[in-house]
Amino acid sequence: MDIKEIVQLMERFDASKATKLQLKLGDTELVLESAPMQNMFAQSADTGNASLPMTGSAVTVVQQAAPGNGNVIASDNGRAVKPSKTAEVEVEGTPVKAPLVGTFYCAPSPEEKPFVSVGQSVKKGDVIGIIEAMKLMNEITAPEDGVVKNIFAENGNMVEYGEVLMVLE
Amino acid sequence: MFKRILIANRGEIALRIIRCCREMDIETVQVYSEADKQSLPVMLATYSVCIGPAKAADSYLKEDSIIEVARKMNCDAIHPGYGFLSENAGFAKKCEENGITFIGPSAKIIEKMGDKQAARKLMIKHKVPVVPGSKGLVKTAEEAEEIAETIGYPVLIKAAFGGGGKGMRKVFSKEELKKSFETAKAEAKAAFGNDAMYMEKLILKPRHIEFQILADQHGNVVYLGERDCSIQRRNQKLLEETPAWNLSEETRKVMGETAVRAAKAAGYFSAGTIEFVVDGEGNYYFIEMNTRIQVEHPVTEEVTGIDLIKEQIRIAAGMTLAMKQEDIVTQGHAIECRINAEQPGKIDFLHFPAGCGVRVDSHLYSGYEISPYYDSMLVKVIATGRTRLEAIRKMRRALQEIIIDGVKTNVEFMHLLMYHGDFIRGRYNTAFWEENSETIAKWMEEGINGGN
Repeated sequence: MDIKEIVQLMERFDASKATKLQLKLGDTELVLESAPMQNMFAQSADTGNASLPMTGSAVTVVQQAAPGNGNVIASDNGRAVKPSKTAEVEVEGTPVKAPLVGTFYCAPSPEEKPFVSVGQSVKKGDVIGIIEAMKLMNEITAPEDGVVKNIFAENGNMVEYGEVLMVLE
Repeated sequence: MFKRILIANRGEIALRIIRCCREMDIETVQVYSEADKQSLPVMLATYSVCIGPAKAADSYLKEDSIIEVARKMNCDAIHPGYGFLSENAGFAKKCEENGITFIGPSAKIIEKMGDKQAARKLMIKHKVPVVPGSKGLVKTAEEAEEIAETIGYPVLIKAAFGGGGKGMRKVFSKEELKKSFETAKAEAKAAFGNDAMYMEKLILKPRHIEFQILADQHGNVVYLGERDCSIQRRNQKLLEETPAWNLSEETRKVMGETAVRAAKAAGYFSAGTIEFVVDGEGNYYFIEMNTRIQVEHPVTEEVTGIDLIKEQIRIAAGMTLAMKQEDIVTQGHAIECRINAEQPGKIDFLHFPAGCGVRVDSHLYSGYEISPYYDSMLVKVIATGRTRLEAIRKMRRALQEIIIDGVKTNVEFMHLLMYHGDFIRGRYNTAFWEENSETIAKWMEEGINGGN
């Protein structure tokens, strides 16, 4: 599955009433999940009749997004730095996770070639990227021998602790 | 005003700050450790960034990681909450160097007030009463005797480089002094390799009374009343209330003005607390200054109607205080009970009390997993009434109603405390827990009337 297909699928999923989609195609597995919306009916103050909330008295519908989708409640203005992660793409292979939070660079400097590219063979200990934090450059090395299958981290973007930078197989 | 604040903390205080920022239309960035991934602050902040594994030293205390996130996420300011980096002068300095506003006083002030001896000297200079003591080191028993005469018995002989109660002796009369001094000195030499000694007046069973102050960056300082925090278990506060019982209006005013003087002496700005000990005769002495927002700030908020986190943010943004001393009126009585977990675990079912006069500050939700890596405080229940007795009744009602299934807590203990005679009469000091915890534990087994 390529990224374009995944994005199309996500859009279809969002537009549907489905709350979970699990798809396995070859060695790719995709899980999409959305937090269910809860509808709560509240009585207006005048009715006073506690037992029957839906008998024609004034009803207020309150929609609440359950926790896990906190971004829906907060103002969503211009989240320029990090897109919301509502889908987790599970790919087989060895993930290379960020050992610290900082800015990811795929090459030793802006003018040079990237350390690795998809399909490239790496040996354990090879430098595959840099994470910069507070002006200190930290080399990120391959945890084992393998071939670079996917690169998720984007050059110049901030990565979290534990974020999957790339996957080796 | 700030557009985006990074919260360098967790749990209930992180939630408290997020709520305030939402009201002020300020975006929040919640940094978190892997253990807090499913926490309420992470869910409710505008953005959240994982900065490390569970261990605080590798996450919430990782200054560089926090500053890096603040920079990359374009945060104007960092709120450190309480604990963690809130009183870390080095961290405050890093914020300053990186053009990020640290929501608190300056690094210099934190450093100054962190040195207890220097803070004491500063207070003496500005005529703030401190615990009477020797001016420097005490070299001989004869010197000790002279100083004891000046201070007045009982006195406390302490090792200058000591700790853990070693090299320390309580002396109640002149006759015991020489021997106690020699023994303490020898003990200090044996335990610490250093027998430098000094002396302080021994305050027996003091009350711990602290004053909340707010100061802006333009020299304006006000006090917002006091809090009595004497109910403590091994120096950990369990309950705080305001106003302090049996404190005359006159004394309150003088202590409040003294607190303001102390803050001005330190050139302080932001929210802060001046701690005093009050002896059995009503004499009060400065102990130290806390240069951060405190756990128990809600009781002050409830009786003054002033949002302390909001004021902290306004002050940090360079605004002047919105109120003058004469505008601050305290109304009613507020009590806070801290509910702690006895072990980590999962909350199976949660129900919080609410209603008139009951406020609950907590990061818990049904299904939440309490991890073992951080402090055990779960919930703060704050009850406010027009009178102290009304507040006590509301607290009883609230602690009766609260349900925290899945973990053992001290709810029952605190509930029974609300029926203890000395507590109800407001007759207690820091020795209360030591003297009465067994009785209350017995009540938990047998009921208050001994099962009759």
